[in-house]
Amino acid sequence: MNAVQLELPWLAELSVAAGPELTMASPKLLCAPDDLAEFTAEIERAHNPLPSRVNVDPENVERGLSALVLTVIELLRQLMERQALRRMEAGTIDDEQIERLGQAFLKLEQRMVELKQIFNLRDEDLNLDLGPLGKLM
Amino acid sequence: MGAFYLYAITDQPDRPLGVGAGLAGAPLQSIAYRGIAAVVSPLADGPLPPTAENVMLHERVIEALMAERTALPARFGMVLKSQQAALDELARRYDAYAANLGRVRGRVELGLRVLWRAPAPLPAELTRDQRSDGRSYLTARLAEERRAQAERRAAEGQAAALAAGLAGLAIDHTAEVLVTPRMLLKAAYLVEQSQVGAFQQAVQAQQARDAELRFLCTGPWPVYHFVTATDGGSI
Repeated sequence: MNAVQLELPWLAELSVAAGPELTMASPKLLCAPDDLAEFTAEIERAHNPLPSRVNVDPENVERGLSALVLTVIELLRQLMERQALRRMEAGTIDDEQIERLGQAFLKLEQRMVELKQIFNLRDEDLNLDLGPLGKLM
Repeated sequence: MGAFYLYAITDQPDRPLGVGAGLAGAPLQSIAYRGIAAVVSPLADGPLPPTAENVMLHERVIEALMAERTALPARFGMVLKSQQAALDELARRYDAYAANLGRVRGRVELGLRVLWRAPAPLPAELTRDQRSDGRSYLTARLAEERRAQAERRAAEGQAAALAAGLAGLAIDHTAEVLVTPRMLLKAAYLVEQSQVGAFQQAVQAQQARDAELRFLCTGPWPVYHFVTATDGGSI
């Protein structure tokens, strides 16, 4: 695999898998390890995950919609959880509230795991790029 | 008139194109406006799919243009509805295109990606999986959050040090930190063509100094990351 293949998704800003038949006269590698597998995996991971569209293929529409809905639920869950963590750190909630909130978030997380299994979704399928805040998952 | 697929905005509008065919074998042509031109090919059958083959060909056309003139690369898939639409676009953003061409003339883009160590897993007693009561769950989450923040700070510090070491050889650069947990830095550098060798040596020296990091430096590329339009967007 040469640099052009590695950079292909970036070139088009699209998730296009580079076929092994693609070659380029100049490999464009100025500094690289002998084995590019680590970079290949990370570049694919970086370009892969955004569910920017609902898949309306009739066979996959349920999965596409569920991914979208679960992404929104996961975003809200994480926002609420981080708010609870901030309050816990700041000492503005008492022991009973901490236990109650913790139980609620624990059960929510367990339920999300179950739903992802039901719809055959991975964590990466529920990712969102939140700009300067980073990625959701 | 039909639509046109856009490859690049270039200078030297009167110079004959040294590149023959574009996507789908369509002939390349210049649509000139004052001192700039849109390099396009007729689009007979509607938008082209973003297959690997098409993306590669798009890139090859731009690189061939780069070899003979200054070129602002278009993203894959840009379509102009007609020759008049192309002329209108060139006229509307003429100043921005001319300024960008002046800024990148004689310069190329180099890509840099740096991997760092994979974060170590949390101790078992701090992971959520081991907890069933609410307080322990939130305590474990807090530990995860603190560690993520510490990782982020460490990454930003290390990435800033790396970027500073190379910035002196570049006209401009963009950088993203922790694109993935392992990818410490993803950066693009705008470099004088004459400085490509020096930049390469600087990256190799960085790699030699820090064996824990993995560097991937590629190029020269068209200046994808260094073209902006008047409205703040890219071509």
